[in-house]
Amino acid sequence: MSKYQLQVVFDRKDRTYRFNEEVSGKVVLDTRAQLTCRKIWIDYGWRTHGKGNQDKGVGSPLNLLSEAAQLRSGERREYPFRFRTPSGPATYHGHILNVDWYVTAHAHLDIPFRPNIKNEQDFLLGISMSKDELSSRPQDARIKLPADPDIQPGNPPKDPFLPKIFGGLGILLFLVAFFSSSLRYYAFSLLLGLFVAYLIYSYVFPAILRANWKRKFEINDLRITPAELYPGDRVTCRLQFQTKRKIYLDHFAATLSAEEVAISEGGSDRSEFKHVAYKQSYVKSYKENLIAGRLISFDCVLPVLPGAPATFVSSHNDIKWSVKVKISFNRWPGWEKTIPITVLRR
Amino acid sequence: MTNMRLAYAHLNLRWNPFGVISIEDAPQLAVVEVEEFVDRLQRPGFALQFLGEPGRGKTTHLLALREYFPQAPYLHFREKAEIPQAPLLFLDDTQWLPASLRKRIFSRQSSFVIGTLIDHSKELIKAGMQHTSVCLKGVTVDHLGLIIKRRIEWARRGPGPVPGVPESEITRLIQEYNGDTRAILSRLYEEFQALEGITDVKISIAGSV
Repeated sequence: MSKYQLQVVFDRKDRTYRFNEEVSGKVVLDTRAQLTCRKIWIDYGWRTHGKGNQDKGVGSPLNLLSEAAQLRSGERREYPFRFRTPSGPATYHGHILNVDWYVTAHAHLDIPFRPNIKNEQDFLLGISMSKDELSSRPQDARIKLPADPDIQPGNPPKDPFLPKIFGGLGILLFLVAFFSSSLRYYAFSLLLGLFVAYLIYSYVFPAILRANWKRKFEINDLRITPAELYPGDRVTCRLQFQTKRKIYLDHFAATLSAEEVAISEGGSDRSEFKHVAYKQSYVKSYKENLIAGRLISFDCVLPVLPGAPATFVSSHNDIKWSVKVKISFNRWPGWEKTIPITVLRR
Repeated sequence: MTNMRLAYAHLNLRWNPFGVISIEDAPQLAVVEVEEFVDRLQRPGFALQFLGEPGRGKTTHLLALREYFPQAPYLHFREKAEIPQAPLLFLDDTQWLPASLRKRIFSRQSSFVIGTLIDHSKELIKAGMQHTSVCLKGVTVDHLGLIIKRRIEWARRGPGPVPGVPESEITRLIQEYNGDTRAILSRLYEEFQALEGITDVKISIAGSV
């Protein structure tokens, strides 16, 4: 042990607090040598840690000792503190993002070279559950599953992928052959072909898709309600569309998800990391040829389990909630739309 | 409320040691030797450039050296930044600056600590500056071992055992990631996330037995 030790001790053993609740404890200063303590204060605040750059919020410091105090060797002094917790953000422990609260005690001692010492301890505030706890928890009784028996929880099937690959390769080969024959510079032709294929894939193909959807159906209604809700509530998703031509409808899918997003900027590197912290998907299978003029409705209820993390937004770290609605057709990539929602903390 | 434990308490840690570190914590965690340049940088007309591929520790060296000059501005050029007048400037990622702007900066009566992917030696000589280049390449087992140990101690929650990374695993990591420290630390982040208790990390590398 060094000649002096500073320690934050919470009155509550589990260090777990609700929002707007009083946190109390003491700062303990132990000395093994005679010294003068000029000042003791605490500050408290939240900080992120994980794969993103650190974001933080700090409360006002609280003075515990403003006048110099003489301490004898072997003496222990305790300085009580109390403060009311703010109303957020909640403690969150995820995979790439964590939000934690800390109380830091500082002491300014009358000693040379290293007069300022500190001790930091974490506490839990208005906590959310981790992903593991969420997945192991039974469905809450208040949450009713969708009334439509055809709507089942589960991951929606993926879009057909092979047509995309063959389409892309076909475009590329055609372009390379075209430019090669006219220019006779194969490396240049390949690069040009790749560039044009990229343009076609990124801009032309989506435009063709949009035009195809516009020709074949019209979205009459798309509502996600409410836009703001609490853990334990349900999101209602209503999608209604009318066919304009004959069309093969494969399935509808609605996915409610929370995603951790962490941005790391350091040195010459900037990376964005994403991790799905919460996901609930429902699928309604149709597999039916529809005639023109059919009005189709898809209503789905998606539960936000109690204890699910609240929306969190800071400079480099976010928890983003959204509902993705998708209509899938035969052969063609499906139509989809992602709508952000906000989950508030209880 | 749910019964939740403090972060990483099961590992006797307070956070994942291999997450992103703040600019304030970087100097205490840096395993670098930069003291020899401190004296020379106190006078104008000297440039020290740290050269290397991404993830080799250029920024770490800059921040460690800046501990000796806390008043000196640190500028990172991924974003557009105003360049203040100062006797010593820390310039990171100068390869993003147009050569004409670099020429104007280097002609100032200042000293510079530079982090860059490309060598500015010719430009510095043209500007009449004395300069030293430090090429950062790879990492040794001992050096990486020290970085890892320092990170774990920094994250320590209390006395007692904490997870470790044996030397054999450090060797495998260096081979797998070709000495890219940033990539190795990122891998260790995932390894520590997966730990269920206090134990040594065992790296599984694709294709190895």
